[in-house]
Amino acid sequence: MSDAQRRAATDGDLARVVAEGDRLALGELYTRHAGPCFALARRVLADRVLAEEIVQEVFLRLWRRPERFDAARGSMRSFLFAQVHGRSVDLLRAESARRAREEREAFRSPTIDVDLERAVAELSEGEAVRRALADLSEGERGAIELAYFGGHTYREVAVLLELPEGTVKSRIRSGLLRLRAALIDAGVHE
Amino acid sequence: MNIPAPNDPELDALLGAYALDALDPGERARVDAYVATNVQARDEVDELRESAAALALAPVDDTTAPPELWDRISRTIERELAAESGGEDEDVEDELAARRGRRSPRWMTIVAAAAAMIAIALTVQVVSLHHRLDNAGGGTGERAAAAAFVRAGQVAGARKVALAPANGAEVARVVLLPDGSGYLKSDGLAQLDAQHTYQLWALTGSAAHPVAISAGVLGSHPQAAEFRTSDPVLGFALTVEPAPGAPQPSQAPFASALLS
Repeated sequence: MSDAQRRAATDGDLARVVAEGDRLALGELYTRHAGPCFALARRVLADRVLAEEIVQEVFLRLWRRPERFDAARGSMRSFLFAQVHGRSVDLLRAESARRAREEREAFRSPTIDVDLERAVAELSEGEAVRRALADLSEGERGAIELAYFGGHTYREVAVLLELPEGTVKSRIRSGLLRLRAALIDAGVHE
Repeated sequence: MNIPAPNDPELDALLGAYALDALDPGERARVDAYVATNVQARDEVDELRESAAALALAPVDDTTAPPELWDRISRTIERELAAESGGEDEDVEDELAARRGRRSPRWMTIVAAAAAMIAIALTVQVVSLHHRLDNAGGGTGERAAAAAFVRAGQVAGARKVALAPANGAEVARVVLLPDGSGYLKSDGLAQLDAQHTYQLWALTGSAAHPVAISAGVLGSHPQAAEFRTSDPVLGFALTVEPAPGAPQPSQAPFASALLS
């Protein structure tokens, strides 16, 4: 595959070539997705070094196990983000990482303030995502943000928001489903 | 053949939190097993993860990965490729062997069959607790087991298998020697609470009538363990059980694989 072909290829095409051992195809996927992956890991972990390790691990795993990406089940972006987020949360929940993060956050704000809309608006798809988020209820948005960016379990979110666990569970699920529907309407998702 | 699981409203309600990695380890293992056999639930999780990916477009500051990071990734790949041609690095060789195996359509078919087979075993068989591991709780025993795992991988006739959920990342590896000695190593099992333990099951018998026999109670956060099997083993599976372990599986496995 030539450089021009790689640049024009879909993520799915690149994944297939990666499976054949084409390192440059992995490089093209890295160019497309490593930045947002790093930003996500850094946001969850609040630690640049750990975020680098997570991104390195996820892309090496894609190289070693390319068959784990199934284009029929979703986009490469969501696949990579799921890997990055899952590993970041696992790391965060290790007690040592949690303590270190709490110490760092002690110098910031006592509350978790994600300011999701502001950051999203800076990106190409941001406006559609921002509108979709704005359509969610405060309760849905707050529960999702605490779980996703705060790395909390829904039980922890329930404690933080002083709500029943069942309420938090249903808000997370309904919020994500409504977000999905809004993004489809906006043409961001298929 | 796969056995579809009936819809479970309690587990369905957890799918949103599951997509955001917001479940406790025990619940996550239950939902892993659920989505492995319920197509409708799996489709919903896939859709919810697409939504979560949109959330991830909101960075803290910039979206530029450190430039040196790709160099590190590329150097690691070069080392692995060199090891593949030279065969010197046991761990990498093991990983590459696993990779070659996973690329085989036949392997994928076998694992799909294994999932169905395990489901059958866990629903119709009553088995006894044959082995309980005393050294799978951390400390020197676990370190010795980790070293033994590496040594076992170099023994002639060693059979290696990677345990993973359906469409999920590998959570553990097992090496089984011809004399029945087995070694498990994991860096992907989340810490459980004190009331639960991981348990390893050896699948024995025939494909038509498989039996799940406990190969070991691994503890709440196992990284390495040794075990023994006495019968011909078809594969392995992992479940989460109430501490201190169960005489028979109480739920479907969240990760499994057949020996090649």
